[in-house]
Amino acid sequence: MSGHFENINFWAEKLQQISLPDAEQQWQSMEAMLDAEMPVSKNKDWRRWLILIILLLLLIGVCNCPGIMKMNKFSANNDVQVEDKQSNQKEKQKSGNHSSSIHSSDSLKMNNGSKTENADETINAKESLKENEKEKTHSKNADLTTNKLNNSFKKKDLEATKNIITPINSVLIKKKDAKEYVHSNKIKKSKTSYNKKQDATTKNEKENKLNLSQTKTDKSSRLADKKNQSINTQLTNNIGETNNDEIKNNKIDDSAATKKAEHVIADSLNKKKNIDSVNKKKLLADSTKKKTDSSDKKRKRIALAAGLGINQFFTVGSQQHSDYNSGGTSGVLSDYIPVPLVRAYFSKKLYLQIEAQINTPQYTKSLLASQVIKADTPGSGNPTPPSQNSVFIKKLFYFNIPLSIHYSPFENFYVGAGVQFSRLTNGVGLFQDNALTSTGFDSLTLSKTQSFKKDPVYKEIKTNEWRFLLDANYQWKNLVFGVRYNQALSNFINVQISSTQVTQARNSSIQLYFRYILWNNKKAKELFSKK
Amino acid sequence: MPPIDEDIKALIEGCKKNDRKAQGLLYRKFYVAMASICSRYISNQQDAMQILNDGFLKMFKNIQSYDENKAGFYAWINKIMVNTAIDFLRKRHITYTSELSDIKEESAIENSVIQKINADELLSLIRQLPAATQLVFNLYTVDGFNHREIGEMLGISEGTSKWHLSEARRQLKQSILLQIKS
Repeated sequence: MSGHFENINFWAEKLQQISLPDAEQQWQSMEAMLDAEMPVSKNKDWRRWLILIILLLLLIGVCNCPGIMKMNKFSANNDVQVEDKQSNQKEKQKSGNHSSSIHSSDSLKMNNGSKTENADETINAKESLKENEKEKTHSKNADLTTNKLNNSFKKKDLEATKNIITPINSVLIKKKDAKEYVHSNKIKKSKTSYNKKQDATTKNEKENKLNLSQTKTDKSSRLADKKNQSINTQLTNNIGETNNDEIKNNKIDDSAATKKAEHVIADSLNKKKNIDSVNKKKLLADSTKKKTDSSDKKRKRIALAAGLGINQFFTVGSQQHSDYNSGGTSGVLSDYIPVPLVRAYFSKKLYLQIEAQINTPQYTKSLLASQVIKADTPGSGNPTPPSQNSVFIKKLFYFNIPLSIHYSPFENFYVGAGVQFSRLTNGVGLFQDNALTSTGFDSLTLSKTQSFKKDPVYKEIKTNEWRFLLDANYQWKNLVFGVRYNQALSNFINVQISSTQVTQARNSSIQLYFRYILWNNKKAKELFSKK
Repeated sequence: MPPIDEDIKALIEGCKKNDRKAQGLLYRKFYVAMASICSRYISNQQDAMQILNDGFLKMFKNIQSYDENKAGFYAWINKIMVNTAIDFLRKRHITYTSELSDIKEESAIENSVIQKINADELLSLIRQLPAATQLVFNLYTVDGFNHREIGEMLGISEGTSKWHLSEARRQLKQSILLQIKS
């Protein structure tokens, strides 16, 4: 550009004031062009999904790890045994042997305690031994005993770690096999889908061919009919008009009629050709219309997003925290099963969200769900004193589907409300047996915590319930942090224990959560790319 | 050459990585300026918008070759748009007829006259000019190319370019006066 200055800027400025089409509409067509010419690689998305799948597999693997399961069961059994021993201890306390019973329970704990307990015990033992050493002027005997104790504890630790490592290895090997299996399945699926598509296309082709042949035969038959009709009419006309003397003339007429018929056939053929071409044009127009309709539909698609998240539940009011899982063993890993979610955006500020929360823990008060007195039937051998069997609800597990609508009053901050459908999937309770004494059923003979899904108590709890929920969250890029409160609209238990005692309770929970949006559809991306 | 705005720099970097968001923002930033260029060169609005998008696509494809030390970004993108429009018109086989025998250089239209008419009306008057005349007028008067450059760009002589400019000025003066009177 050279430097002549004939009011260039004035013209340019003036002509920039012209009315132009909407920039957003133009950008949409531009984006379509860019998608066709310069597609954005989706490797990052795939990597994200891959990492997530691996994490999920790891989580599932860790949850189902036989070593951990064994350890959980082992510690649970220990708990039961300890509880039994404690009940014995209570009995002994009553009889006056306080000191001996405490010692016995302590020794039992030492023998049967879990790995962590062992570690604590080692520290305590070391400390006590050190004190003894100081007091007894570092005697050699004390050193020897500490060494022995340390060695024994180390051996136990090694055994425990071996128990953990071996199942993890087996799980890893299984994962490799599973990966290969998944890969082969994918190939099979793709092959089958390809074969199906091919079958479908060949079927369509065959049908089209059949239709074409049918139309052709129809056309030919119609033409033949027309030919015959025209010849017949001509012949009848001729017959009507002719006499016996004019046979020669009739022959001439016949040839003329055939010529006429040929003309008629040619005309009809031309007409049919024209009709066919018109039909073809119509079909083409229809197909283009359909294409434009489908593209319009695509444009009108809803902005969708999907992601995963994890919840942390807390007790509300007088609810009691419980570390038991749905299997009735201690361990809370299964309380953190990732939650899938789907969002539909109405605008940048308003969206609808649905989640699927599997194996969600629900803390409760220690609720007495059942109390039965058992007495020996008369005539049976070895008569035992009557006992009272009680079941206390400790923790419930639900499958939740929360549906909520969220609005953003400030940038990145959303408040929401909605409903939640909850279906009971499991429950853990404390089972206690009390023997009858002179003061009543106050001698504890058994106390254990376990799942009560197969117990009649489970039937007393409402299986399905509806809850309302209130939610507040903050979204930073794809990460969402939030808090949610929900409360049931009805009681989940309403049981009459005795003539004077009724157990009633309603579920409520508070949760902190974080979610990660893994996928946004094109429309959602468009929505959030707008300033 | 004025330094490039930091925002635009960041957007250019984004575009180099084929980031759709950056491309969208850059598109919106230069939409008005570029769309008005295309509307000046191409009489049909639909074609003008097609040229606009073709020009932007060309720009996004070649953004790796953009060197801020050589040219300002606006000048670079402006040149791409003008060239895209000229290519489009070239395909339409516009003819540069000229009566070189009587070149009477018409004086420029005064700003005060242009001020009396609104932008859309002015654009419609420019669009009424013959395609070749309109093209030369735009290149010379609005985009600031000289006759030698125009001649090289369009493959015509300087004299032809001068004739078309003179013709454009004459016709525009008449039509603007008529417009003002009406």
